[in-house]
Amino acid sequence: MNVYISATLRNFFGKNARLETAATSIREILNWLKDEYPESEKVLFDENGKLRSFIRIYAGEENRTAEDKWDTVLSKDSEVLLLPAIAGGAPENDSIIPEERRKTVSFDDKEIERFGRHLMLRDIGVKGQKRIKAARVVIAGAGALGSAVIQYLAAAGVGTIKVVDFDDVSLENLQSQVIHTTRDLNRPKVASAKDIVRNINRNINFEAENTKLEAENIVDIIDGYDLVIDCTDNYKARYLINDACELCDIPVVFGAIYQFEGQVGIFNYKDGPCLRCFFPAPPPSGLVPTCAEGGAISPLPGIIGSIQANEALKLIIGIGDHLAGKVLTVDSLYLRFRILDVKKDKECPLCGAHPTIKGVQDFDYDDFCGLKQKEEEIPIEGFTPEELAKRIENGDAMTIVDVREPHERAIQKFPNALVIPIGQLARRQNELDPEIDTIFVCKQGMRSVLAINTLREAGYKGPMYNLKGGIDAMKDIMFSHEGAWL
Amino acid sequence: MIREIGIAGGAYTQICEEAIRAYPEEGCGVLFSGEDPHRVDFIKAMKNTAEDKENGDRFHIDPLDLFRTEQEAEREGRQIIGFFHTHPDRRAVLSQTDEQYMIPGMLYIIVSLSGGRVTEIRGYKKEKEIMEVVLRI
Repeated sequence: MNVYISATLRNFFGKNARLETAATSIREILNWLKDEYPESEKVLFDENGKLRSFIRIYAGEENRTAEDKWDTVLSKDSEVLLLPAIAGGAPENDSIIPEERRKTVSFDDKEIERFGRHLMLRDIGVKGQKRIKAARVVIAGAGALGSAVIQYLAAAGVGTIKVVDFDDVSLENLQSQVIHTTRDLNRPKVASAKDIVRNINRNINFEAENTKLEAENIVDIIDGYDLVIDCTDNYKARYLINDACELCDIPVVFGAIYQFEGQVGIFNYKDGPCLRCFFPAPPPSGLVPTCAEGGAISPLPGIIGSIQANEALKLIIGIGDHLAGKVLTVDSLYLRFRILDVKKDKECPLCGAHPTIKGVQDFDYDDFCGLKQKEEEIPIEGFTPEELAKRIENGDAMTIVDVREPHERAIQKFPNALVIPIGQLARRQNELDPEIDTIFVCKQGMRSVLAINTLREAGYKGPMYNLKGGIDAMKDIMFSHEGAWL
Repeated sequence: MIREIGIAGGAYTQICEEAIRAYPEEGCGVLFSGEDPHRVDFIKAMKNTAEDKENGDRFHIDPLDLFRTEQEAEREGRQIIGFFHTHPDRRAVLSQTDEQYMIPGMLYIIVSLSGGRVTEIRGYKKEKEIMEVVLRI
């Protein structure tokens, strides 16, 4: 019998176009081919021994691909054709919203008018807008990033928005957290978030969660939602969110800002990397200040938050290219945008080949971040602002070292303090008198701990103390004091 | 391993023409090389025989059509090196079905169209793994 091999498959059959065989049925032919051309087995059959989906077998013009036709005895002069089925198709929609849920959604006339500018976009259209309405999104943090994300997702028509934040609005928040206004001072941030969403669209199902994210509550808070947007400002929350989302199989749109720079990325999307693949461990606490300590230019969180909202919508609609497995870095000062690739880490303790983290644990982030004092280490002693004030009034002999940066000192000086930035401490330790107490001060009492540890490592032996809570905590004390010298 | 494939200008134009003609359905065809086996010199648009293509998202080339095309090519001394198809209003990336039907060693060119215009064209090959090949037009 004559067997014709398609040109597309010949490489696996010794480049032959036609083969002569004594076999009399399709099954015999396939077995004979496997024996004659061992190479061909993996192109004909899959791992389970089933004929591959792209292989078609014809006897003359008749399709004999189905296995129940393999045993028919064929006449000697028939020609068997081994051909590929060339098939495929555009990708199915890649939305994170299940189709069944989309189909339950409908729009009234008002909504068609409201979302007209989405509906007219070919890539969004009615289907896309239905996915947006069907979406259930958690926004962790109603601060600066959250302000942009909450407003845009509400305006875009996300059906269910849950906002988690434990904080109240303070005056310094108003520089960048644009959903809060002077009227909202001392109110919970989730309350002003709710007002904003209500004013945009009353039909949105808004859920306020005025709590702090902890290992005990995070799974309950995020479980059953389609997407979490990380708008928090600290490592503890970021790692909690990352771990919980990986374990609940929810993608995270990550965002972070510092001074003039920002980052956006998507973690836990499909089999992509998680935050731990990107940052295996956070930097030592105190080294990288939060925005409360380090500051940030006002529109930056608006830029980063808007990109987060845009990424979230693309995941919901299932369109475009997104930042899964990538991190976008934005330098707003010099206008440089870069995209870094984040590879999945096979050794990742959370999403790697052999994960060691199997539940959201009450993880000791202080220890993880290197802040917690180890037992063998000498603990760092500190003074409260009251204690320091008293010592200053008593005229006790001591050296006060201000480790803040020059621009921070420009806002508020600490009188009679020796100014040594952290980076210069080790080399300038001879300026300190080891016979008397040295007190280190910074904005919030974090970098001063780092300063003490740095000097200890450098071999400084004199007594060192930290100002607890930093100059921020000292401010109120000193100003209320008669003869305040700040 | 060949990571770069050339496409003759004429062949490229024909691919785009077929992509636009078929829009909003998927268009498809066969790619042939001439003397240089790593260059697409000729193409032949094929009939899309997929049954469920109302959404413009399935293509299928009838194996017997391909058989006849192969024989024709043999007579003309052309070599089949792969296939092209279009993704109307979708990115030029492999879908799951595309990957499932890939024959190892063959070149797969995907043309993406948006609103009836060609916006992106990419090539892929499956060797041990699926990889993107650079298309030089």
